[in-house]
Amino acid sequence: MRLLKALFGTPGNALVSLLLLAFLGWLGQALLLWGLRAEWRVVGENLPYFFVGQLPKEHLPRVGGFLLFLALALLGWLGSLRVVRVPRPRLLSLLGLLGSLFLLPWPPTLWGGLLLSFLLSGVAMLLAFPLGVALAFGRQARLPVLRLIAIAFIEGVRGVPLVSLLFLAFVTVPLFLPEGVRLPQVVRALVAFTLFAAAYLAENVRGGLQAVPKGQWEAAFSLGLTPFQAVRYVILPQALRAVVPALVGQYIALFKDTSLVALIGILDLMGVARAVLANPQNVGLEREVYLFLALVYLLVSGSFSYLGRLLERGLGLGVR
Amino acid sequence: MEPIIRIHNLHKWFGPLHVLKGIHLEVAPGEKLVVIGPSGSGKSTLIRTINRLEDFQEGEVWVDGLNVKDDRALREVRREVGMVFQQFNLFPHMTVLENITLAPMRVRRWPKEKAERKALELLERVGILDQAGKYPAQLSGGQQQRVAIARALAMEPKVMLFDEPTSALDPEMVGEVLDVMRDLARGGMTMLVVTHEMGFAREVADRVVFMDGGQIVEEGRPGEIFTAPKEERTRAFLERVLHH
Repeated sequence: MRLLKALFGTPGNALVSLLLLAFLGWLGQALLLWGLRAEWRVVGENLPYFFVGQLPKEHLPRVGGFLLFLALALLGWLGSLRVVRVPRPRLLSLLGLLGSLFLLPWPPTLWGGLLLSFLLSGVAMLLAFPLGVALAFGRQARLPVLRLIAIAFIEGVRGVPLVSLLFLAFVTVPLFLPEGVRLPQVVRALVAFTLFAAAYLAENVRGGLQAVPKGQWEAAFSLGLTPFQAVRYVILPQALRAVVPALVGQYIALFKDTSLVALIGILDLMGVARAVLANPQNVGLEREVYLFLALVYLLVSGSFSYLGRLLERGLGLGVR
Repeated sequence: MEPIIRIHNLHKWFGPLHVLKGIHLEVAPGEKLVVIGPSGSGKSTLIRTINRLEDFQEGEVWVDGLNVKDDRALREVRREVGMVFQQFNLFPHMTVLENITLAPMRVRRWPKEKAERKALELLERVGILDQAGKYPAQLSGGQQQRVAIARALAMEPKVMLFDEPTSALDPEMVGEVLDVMRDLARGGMTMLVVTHEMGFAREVADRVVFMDGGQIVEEGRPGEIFTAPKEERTRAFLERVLHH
């Protein structure tokens, strides 16, 4: 009823609503007609290729197990933050982490498709975490040299588009390696993503650190805690809690940004799509493929942002 | 008896501002010292130099034979000196029990069972045993400050510093916190209390120190200070706080 009133309450509103509805109807009809005639076989036939790239079939159970353990680790982590109720959350997250590390498909050259997008962003975020926290502290360090290095790194990386960073990693990483050693492209991309994520993470964490009142440091010190203990038990847990929503947002952005690796010839979800379309059989099927791609990205990003909201709500409870 | 706290010719500047101007003070073990004075007189700064939450530029502070200027000794000092803040400063992400057991477990390396036993004992003593599993935000101000006192006591300190412990409380909660402090005083704890609660000072203090403008203007037994202050500034201050 309220909706009806809002849409058709006044002659002006009614007119606008009718026009919009007509437009939407026309759009929907066109989409539906196209969708019925579209050649979805290009998606169906290549489904495994989209999801795991050229990963050999015998690795599939391993990937399944990996994802299962990862979910377990996530559940344990949510439990330890008291967002959900699970028994023995620390043990659970440790078990999940060890299990998923053990089952992580290796080497990274095997990664492909959605799995690659997922792993590239996930592993980069994980590696960026300690680096980002260190940079956040470095930026506030009393030692000018440390502060300068941290600021130069953070601002340097943040001031450059990710694509150029990717190309840079692609051409410069080999320079730092001894003669004859070649790093696979995926690993070079991983390096670039890690550095990129660390710089942004550092700024997020710094915001969190600044949100912790000075009195918390004083209370920790007055109890005899060392600076390291104060950070570990009192300051960082609060700082990270404050920035969890921002970190989830950062992860989602990073996940979507992995599509850029297609530009340097890596077969992530985007790269697979381009490869599929390069097949002469599939000429002219861009719409089907890219629509499917958009849906997959939307679904994954949507799930993560739902998780983020869950976290935000859970963390607000009982704390502060 | 050998004093447990010895402050000698202490000077502190905040930039160009000279906030402590040559303080001399000694506190005997078991003594209850109350520091009073107008805001900005340096009284909070003074007790915060004792565990060096506030650094100082000149002079010496000794606690139980340890020089707080010495970084190595400072940790030891902080283990032996408990502090209660105006704003409670409880750790909001930890339960009441976790707040109290953190330092004994991490600093004193007590096993969890021992730390928890001690924590529950202290919670009972401050009268909020039933709140052990709650988070600070779920407690009233008075309850939070009592947790903060229990947290400081869990380290079994030799000295307790109170920096305006009731100033952030609603009036009806001041009494419950002062009760806990009275109980602590009766137990023989060495206490330094910065407060505006003149009734508490008169009742509990062995000695009252009046500060103004970064200096100790006058000190003496509460009876002398409150009924027959020698200095004009003390008289004016007491006039303002007692008859308003």
